[in-house]
Amino acid sequence: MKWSIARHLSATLLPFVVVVFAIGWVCTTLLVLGISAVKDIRISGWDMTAAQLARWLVFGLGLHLARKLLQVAVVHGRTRREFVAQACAFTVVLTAVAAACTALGYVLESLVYRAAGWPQSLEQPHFDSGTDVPAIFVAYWAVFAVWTAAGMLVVSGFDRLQAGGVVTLLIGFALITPAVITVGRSGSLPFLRGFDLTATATLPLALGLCAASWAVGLALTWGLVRDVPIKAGTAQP
Amino acid sequence: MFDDRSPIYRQIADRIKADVLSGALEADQQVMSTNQYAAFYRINPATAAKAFQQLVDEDVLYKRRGIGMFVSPTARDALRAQGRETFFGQVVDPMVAEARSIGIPLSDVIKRIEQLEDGR
Amino acid sequence: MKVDVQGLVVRYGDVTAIDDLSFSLAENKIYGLLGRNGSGKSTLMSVLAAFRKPTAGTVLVDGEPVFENGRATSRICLVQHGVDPADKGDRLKDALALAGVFRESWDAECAERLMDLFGLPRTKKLGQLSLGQRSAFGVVVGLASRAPLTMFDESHLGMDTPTRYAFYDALLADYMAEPRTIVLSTHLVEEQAALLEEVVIIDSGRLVLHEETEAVRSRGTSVTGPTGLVDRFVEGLTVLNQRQLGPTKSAVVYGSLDRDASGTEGLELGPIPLQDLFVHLTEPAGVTR
Repeated sequence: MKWSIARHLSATLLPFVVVVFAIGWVCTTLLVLGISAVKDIRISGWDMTAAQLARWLVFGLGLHLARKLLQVAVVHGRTRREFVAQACAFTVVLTAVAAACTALGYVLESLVYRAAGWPQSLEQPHFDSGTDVPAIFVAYWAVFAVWTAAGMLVVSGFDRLQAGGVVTLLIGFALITPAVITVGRSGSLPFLRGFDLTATATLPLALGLCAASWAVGLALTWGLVRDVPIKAGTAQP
Repeated sequence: MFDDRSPIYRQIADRIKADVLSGALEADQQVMSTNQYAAFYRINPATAAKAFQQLVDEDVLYKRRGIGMFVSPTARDALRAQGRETFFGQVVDPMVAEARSIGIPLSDVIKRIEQLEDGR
Repeated sequence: MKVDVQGLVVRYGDVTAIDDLSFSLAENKIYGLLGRNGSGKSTLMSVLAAFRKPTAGTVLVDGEPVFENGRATSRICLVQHGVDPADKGDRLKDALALAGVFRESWDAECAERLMDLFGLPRTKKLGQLSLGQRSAFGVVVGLASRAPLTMFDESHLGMDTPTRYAFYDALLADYMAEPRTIVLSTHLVEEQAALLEEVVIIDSGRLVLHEETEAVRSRGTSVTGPTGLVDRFVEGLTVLNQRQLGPTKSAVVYGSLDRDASGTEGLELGPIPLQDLFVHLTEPAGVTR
């Protein structure tokens, strides 16, 4: 029973993530193949998908964890502390799996591109080849961790503070900025456009900032969630 | 099934007493357990237990530990004697009062009783 | 599981839902929690289940504070409308599996039996259930939880009469087989009164009374007759309610009476249904003494 929450989350959500990534990779590749009929392919399609879309998946999972699943755990007699502790441990694994899927996507794409004779050019500060698995893995792992924590923070903010949750939204924006210097193309939020990605930080620094963001996000989430009331949808305030 | 006139446990007790009087429950016969009673009438088992306890106190039932509750062999006679007392106080006297308040002469009441006795 | 509440206060902003409430529940009895809408019943149950933290006061179960106490909360189950035991998109069979994952005392066999009893479709999604089905599912979760303190917050809502009877039968059977502390919050006072060993009545967040059901019921008497006689009889007694029809008055009196007291000629004394007593005890006008 001790780690049952984490085990359950792993058993249900990890396969889901793998499947979503698989579908995403297949769709991206089909799209690229389709475009190749009318245009020359010169950049990596997966680079765009992974950097711009994948983070929303883990953000959404963060939302789901900190609201719905937390409530279910408490309804069945577990404490918020137990749940958050196990959920945090789980997100480390979740984001690692997502990062591994991402890296695998790059590698598979490099095979496809090589076979088709296309250059797999990336817009990335910390790796320039689709086969640099270690760098791809840690960079995305860090970015996914930050986005997951942001999702948990934002949903906890709105749950606890209602309209005041906007504050956590702003904090969430601030928290994901280290992601911008970790994985390219992830600065595609309006006010961050024009951010100079090249050579702004070394990978270790970027990872450190992401880790700090992740920790702050989780700490703030815990602060909001530790005594949050479990209540009916509309009935009670 | 139960009304508000008296506590449920007393109504249960009265019902068991009525069964003993009528012979539906015989001397030394086992009665349903409190749980069976509770399930049957859809009531809290504590209420059934209270009824049974009252009957034990009144020597209508006795308990055989580990087996259950049984009708006391002296119960029927005792209840008959009790019933006799309450019958006059709670049935006959009110009937007479009612007859008077309506204006029925008691001689008519007696005549009716005799008719019933003959027509038996 | 014993419950001990002392000086409980629960406020949401400037609304005081529970106002200095104190009471204790002994273990392994079936309690009724009665109160009008907005009296604080659901809030009280939420606090007992550690769904919500009190603003002030203490809530102890088996001597320990309940909020965020895993030892206590794992032995408590609250079934409350609007607080789903799973995601709305989960199928019922998955929702049951989820309960088994999170709750150590979960009895899967019991759950299966009750699912069949209530005829609940295992492949249907939680969000697609009718109100009555959702209530029935709540009953399944509550009973199969095997929690030493199990609470049902109006779990009969939406159920038709046969289903309610099935609920009561299942509840009693389970309670007799394996006793636990059960709290039923309800408006169906008359229908459920026989199930309840004790009742706790709250009104506007305060305790009105906490007694054996039978004791409460026996304390109500209706007195009907000519107005003058009724007035004379009830003088000095606690009158909960009075009604007049022409020359006849009917009063509801609360408290033990000497039934064979003099002064009852011309008056009709009768019992009061528990439901009516409850209404009178929690009327907004309060009690006239």
